[in-house]
Amino acid sequence: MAFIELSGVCKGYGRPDQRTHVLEDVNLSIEKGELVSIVGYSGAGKTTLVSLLAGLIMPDKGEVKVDGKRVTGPGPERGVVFQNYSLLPWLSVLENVQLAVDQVFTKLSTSERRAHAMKFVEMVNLGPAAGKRPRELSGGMRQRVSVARALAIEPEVLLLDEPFGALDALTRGVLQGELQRISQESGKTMLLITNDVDEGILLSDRIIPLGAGPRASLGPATSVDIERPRARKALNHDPRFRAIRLSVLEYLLESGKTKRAERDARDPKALPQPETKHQAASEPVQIAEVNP
Amino acid sequence: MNHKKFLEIWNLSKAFPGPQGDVPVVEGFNLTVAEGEIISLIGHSGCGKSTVLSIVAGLTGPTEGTVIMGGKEVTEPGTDRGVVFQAPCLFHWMTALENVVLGLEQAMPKASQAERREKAGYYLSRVGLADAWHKKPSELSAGMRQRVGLARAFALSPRMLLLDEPFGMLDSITRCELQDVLLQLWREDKKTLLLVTHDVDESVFLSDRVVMMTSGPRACVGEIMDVTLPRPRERHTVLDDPQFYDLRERLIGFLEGQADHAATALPPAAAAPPSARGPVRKLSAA
Repeated sequence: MAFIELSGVCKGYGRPDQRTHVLEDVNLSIEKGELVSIVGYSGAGKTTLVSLLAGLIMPDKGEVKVDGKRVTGPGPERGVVFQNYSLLPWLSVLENVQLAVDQVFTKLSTSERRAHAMKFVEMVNLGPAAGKRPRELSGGMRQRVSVARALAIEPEVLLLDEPFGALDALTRGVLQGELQRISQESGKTMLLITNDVDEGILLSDRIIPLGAGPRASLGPATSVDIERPRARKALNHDPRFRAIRLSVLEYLLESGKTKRAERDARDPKALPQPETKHQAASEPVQIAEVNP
Repeated sequence: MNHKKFLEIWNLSKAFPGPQGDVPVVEGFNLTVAEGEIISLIGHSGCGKSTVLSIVAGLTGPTEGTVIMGGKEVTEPGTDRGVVFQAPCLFHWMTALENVVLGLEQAMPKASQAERREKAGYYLSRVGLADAWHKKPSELSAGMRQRVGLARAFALSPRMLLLDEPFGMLDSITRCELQDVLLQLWREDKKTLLLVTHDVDESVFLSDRVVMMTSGPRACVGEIMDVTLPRPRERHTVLDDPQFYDLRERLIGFLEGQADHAATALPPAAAAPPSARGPVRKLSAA
């Protein structure tokens, strides 16, 4: 039995007669200590998947299990890092982290909890900024606080929902390096959700594409058998990296194309698709009924 | 006019007023672009890429230097230069088609409304929106809205298109789709494209030449890299080509070098002058 198990999971939103089916028949198993990334379009249902695992929402059909137990709500054994850092603006870096520690480690003394929180603030290299408020920090530093907070509750699983999506390329590179280090040091089970194929390959043991929505499901998983630590520059010349990159990207682009073609077929108002410029000029497009 | 020298940027400098006197964002920028070429400007945030683009668009004037396009000096915006921004600025109460038609009313004042609709419909089909021409922007995804933006820009038939991080707000997979759309449009119309981006893969995949800018202030051309990958470029073949990865590495190496340089040489305020962006934005919105 794998540590995380999703079997036949379906999830939609809206009233039954006009329901949007987001995920359909999602099956996933993640072993303890594994780092798996799921790559997909924005809007495909990646956040829905994380919310299901976090226990923030329940599936319509199928089962979500963590460590053999069915997920029925949020819990401290699953830490979540969202794209928007969700920090409390009136608390300092240390206080933000300690707030989570206070909730989970109720048996420790105040000074022990403080020391515990500080350990994780230092792990993300924010020791010198521990007394600062979120507004005094850059986006990258805020995301570090968010990562420290999630790690400080010592969860069994860390769920990362596009953690670096809001950051510029340079800061993203730095934080990816830090996440790689933390994941190796801690050996935690992690699920990374991203829209960046390179990021997925750089960090994970396995990479799985999530096809385009609606009714998105997971594509074939690929093991990333590249030794760690992985450096961006060296990866660039690694034929294994190139092959994985190509196959994941093509799977995703193909699934997007298929979903668009399905939508086109359903839409009676579609314009004829022009082959060449000359042909289009001689055949006027039928758009007379556009006026309201 | 010499086709090899369709666009000439001579010794361009631009300074913006700051609290401690003028901040020279760009200084001594030189570039010559041939007609039909695709050129990317790549550099770190705040290095002045968009400033150069705005000056070529005629949205803001240079402090020093000249821009000559098609033998004429650029002093103001014109219909010979189309601009595509990160967000396509569509009117939310109009359909995709009406948004494109609106642009054509300016560019084709003598044409009938039916002709304009036909042209708008043609370009919407070309960007893969044949099924969505009657939808309002709120019913479209971010990627589809930017497809409308590209259709509108190409429908206006400018001689040159200036694209300022056109896919910067999209996820990396949608970005790939839109790059393919842009290349398809270019294949037929062969417009000169000047593209500002900070995406290394995007610049290599699209361009004939990549212009790497040094970090500001006083940003200028650092290196120019020729991309000789054969056209038409298909993603599968390009991603399989070892040359692509060599080019990619050269760009990443340059950008990392600039980042180290910026981190050691600059006070943080000067690295990304927000004051410099204000006037450009105001002008472009007017």
